[in-house]
Amino acid sequence: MTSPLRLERALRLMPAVEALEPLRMLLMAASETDDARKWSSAGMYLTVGKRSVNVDTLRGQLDQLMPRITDHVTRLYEAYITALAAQHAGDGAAAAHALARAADEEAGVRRLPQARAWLEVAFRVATELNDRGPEIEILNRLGETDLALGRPMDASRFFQRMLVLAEAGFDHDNVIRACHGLGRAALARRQYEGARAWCLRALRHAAGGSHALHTVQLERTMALTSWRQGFKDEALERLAVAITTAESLDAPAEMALLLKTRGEVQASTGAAEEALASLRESGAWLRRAPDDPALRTDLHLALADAFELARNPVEAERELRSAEQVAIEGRLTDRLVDVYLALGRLSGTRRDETGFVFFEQAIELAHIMGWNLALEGHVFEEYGRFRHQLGSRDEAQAHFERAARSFEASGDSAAAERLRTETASATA
Amino acid sequence: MTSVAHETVPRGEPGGAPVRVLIVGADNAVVTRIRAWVDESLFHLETAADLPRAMRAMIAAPAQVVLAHLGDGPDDLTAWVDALRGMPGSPRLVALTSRPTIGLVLQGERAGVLDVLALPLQREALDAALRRVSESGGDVVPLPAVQPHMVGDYALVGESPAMLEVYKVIARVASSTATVLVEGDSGTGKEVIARALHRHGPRAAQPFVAVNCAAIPENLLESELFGHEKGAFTGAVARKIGRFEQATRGTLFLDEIGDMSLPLQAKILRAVQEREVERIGGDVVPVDVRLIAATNHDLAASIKAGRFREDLYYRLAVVTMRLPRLVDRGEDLLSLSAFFINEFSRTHGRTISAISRSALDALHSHAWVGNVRELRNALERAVLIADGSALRLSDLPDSVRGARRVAALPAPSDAPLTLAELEARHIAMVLASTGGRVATAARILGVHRNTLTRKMREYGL
Repeated sequence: MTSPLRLERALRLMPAVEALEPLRMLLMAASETDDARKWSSAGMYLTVGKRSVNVDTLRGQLDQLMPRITDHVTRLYEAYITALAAQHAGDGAAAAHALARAADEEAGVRRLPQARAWLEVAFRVATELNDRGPEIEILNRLGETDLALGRPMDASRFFQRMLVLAEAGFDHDNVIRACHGLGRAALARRQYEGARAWCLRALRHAAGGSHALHTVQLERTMALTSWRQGFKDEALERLAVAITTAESLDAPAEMALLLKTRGEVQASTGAAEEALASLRESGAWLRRAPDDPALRTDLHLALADAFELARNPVEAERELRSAEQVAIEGRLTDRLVDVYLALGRLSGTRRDETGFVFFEQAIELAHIMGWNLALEGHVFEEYGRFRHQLGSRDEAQAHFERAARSFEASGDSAAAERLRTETASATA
Repeated sequence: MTSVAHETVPRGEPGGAPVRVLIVGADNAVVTRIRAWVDESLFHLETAADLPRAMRAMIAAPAQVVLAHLGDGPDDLTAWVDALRGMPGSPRLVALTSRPTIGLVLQGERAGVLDVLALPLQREALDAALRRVSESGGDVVPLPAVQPHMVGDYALVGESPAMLEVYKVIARVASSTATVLVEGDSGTGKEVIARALHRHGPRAAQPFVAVNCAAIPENLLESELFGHEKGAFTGAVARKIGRFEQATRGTLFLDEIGDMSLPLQAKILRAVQEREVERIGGDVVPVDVRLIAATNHDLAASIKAGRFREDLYYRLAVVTMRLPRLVDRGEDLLSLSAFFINEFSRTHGRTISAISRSALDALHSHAWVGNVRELRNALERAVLIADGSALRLSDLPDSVRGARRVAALPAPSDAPLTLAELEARHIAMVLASTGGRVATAARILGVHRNTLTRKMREYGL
């Protein structure tokens, strides 16, 4: 058995080659930490880079990884050949469907930029068809993918076109989905009145039909909008209605999501005990839903905030470490960034300078992901706040400028402008 | 046969409100049977369909006991233990199962479950389980008054012979500016000792700067220690003064120095020898610092393996101190516990003045891999959960109360144990004592790791 080595060293040995991406993810997922290190003085600063990787373990796990990669690539190739054959036979709908299936394959392993690339090709094929159905479906997926990629402007464009087509075809279901997509894209761009208007429009369409699940999801987006606007009571009322409906639908995943949101809103009002109760119940529902590591990570993060609010730093840190573990095992790099930002913020409130290691780790992870400029902007903004809190003004200023550039590049000029205004007033 | 309507059966208050029992996920037949057996003037029985709804019910009105049916659904024992941790009223869990395996019983014991009862439910078993609610309190030990030696915000606690030796070395070397190497396992208090040396030394009025070498990414450690000029490398967004310079005329504490890479060790050696450092992309700057280093590694072994420079070791180890592990200063455990409980009671607005005998036994039985740091963490969690004037076994984290319970609790029934049950219990006890480390447990048990893993699977451990 060879002795373990640090993940940060292992990653430094790996070139930035796309074909090695699954191996990079495996390295992170296979890394571990031991009890002695957990209790060392560096234990509270542990990040994924400081975890250990055992070469023998890695070699063993490679045997399981390779068939999965081969299967994945095989399915992509097969999807392409199916699409090619369908187009050759003049069946454009089948070609678009096969290409969309390849996108699903990529999205299933969280390769969202690659999924988007397949969807773009599928979209071109779908626009040439007489039937608008496949085009509407692909527009919806493009919109959802862009939302997940942190590109709400692009998502809006896809949902807008989807809406036009669905309305023309009196396709109620897709009108609701398009309006909801537009609402969420507006919410992501902090255009709250727009988000509210789109969701209300969707709710009007949903009323009277058998769209109970849509209604629940719309009410949640409405609640989030109200919350962001500062109308916390309204948010809680909407969530209460949605929770009652979701419970009658036996929809555990929706229940988990709604209760998590309720817990977050309650925490923002300072009601720590109520927040903890909602979040714990959310966890109980989550166990009944199909496994969703992203939601599990988010729930641990929300619990950490609530425990912090309840002046229970020990449990707060425990929840953050649970979130870290779920994100590592689930290969959720974006969520892992969130975890380290939260740990960094915690260090900032304790005025612990060594907490900079969490931001450095978040930056490294954001670079590994590469595609999410909004996330990158968020990381540098948080790092700037941390440095500002600890009195390093020059460094803070440099990080804020970098964040503004990333927001600008992601198309969120409002965020870039907000940050520049804030920085200017802070340094004035 | 005795009924659960018994003198020793617990009440919320003597002669007062009945104990609130929540029955979860059980079918009607089981609920009807429990209602028939239990005197409802002593026990207020309520039902809930599943764990999420039970949680809602317990938030609305805290329960003291939860009788949870572990079916085929997602609500397994782990889910229940997680769900009840920190719930209002600290409810005790009684698990009902139609498949009671030894693994489940042991898992329950480790997690502090009150009992695991087999279905179909037997009246005597339920009676005994409910009676244990009142027995789980036990004797309490008042917390002794502790006189810590304060080092700024930190404290040195303990009068054991091992600690007295440490105090003597501090007294001997603090007044000099000699470089000191503090050795000891994780959590033994190396930084507190370094602070004590600084505070009692000639540089006490100057800065004490601590750097945790294991926490900082390898590629950033050099700039953290020596500083850099703006633009010296990607990410050097502003000029940075390194920790060596920050500690000028004071003390620089290099924690976890054994984790440092060899190239950086060479630069530290140069800084120590030449008394100057070179900012990355900048000038050479003279430094005057007292160096204290600490490690939890066996540096002699690291030198032999070529991972640590021998010349640097001799530069650092002018004076060496070895800190005792917590298990080697067991006589300090009560005073350390008292100190932490008092400290956290003050911080979190609690009034805890005693600790139950069973909780103290659990503290004494635990392996404390993380030494004083782990004890501190366990007691802070316990204080936050505790809702009385005494800290109880159920307030301690699962990992701490596990070892004692597996070792000390009787078998779930009065029947003698089978050989397999005995083996399963022994394996569980050894695993608990090693903090779940399979390789260490296998070594203690004298079996191959694979054999142990197979047996753990077999017994559901």
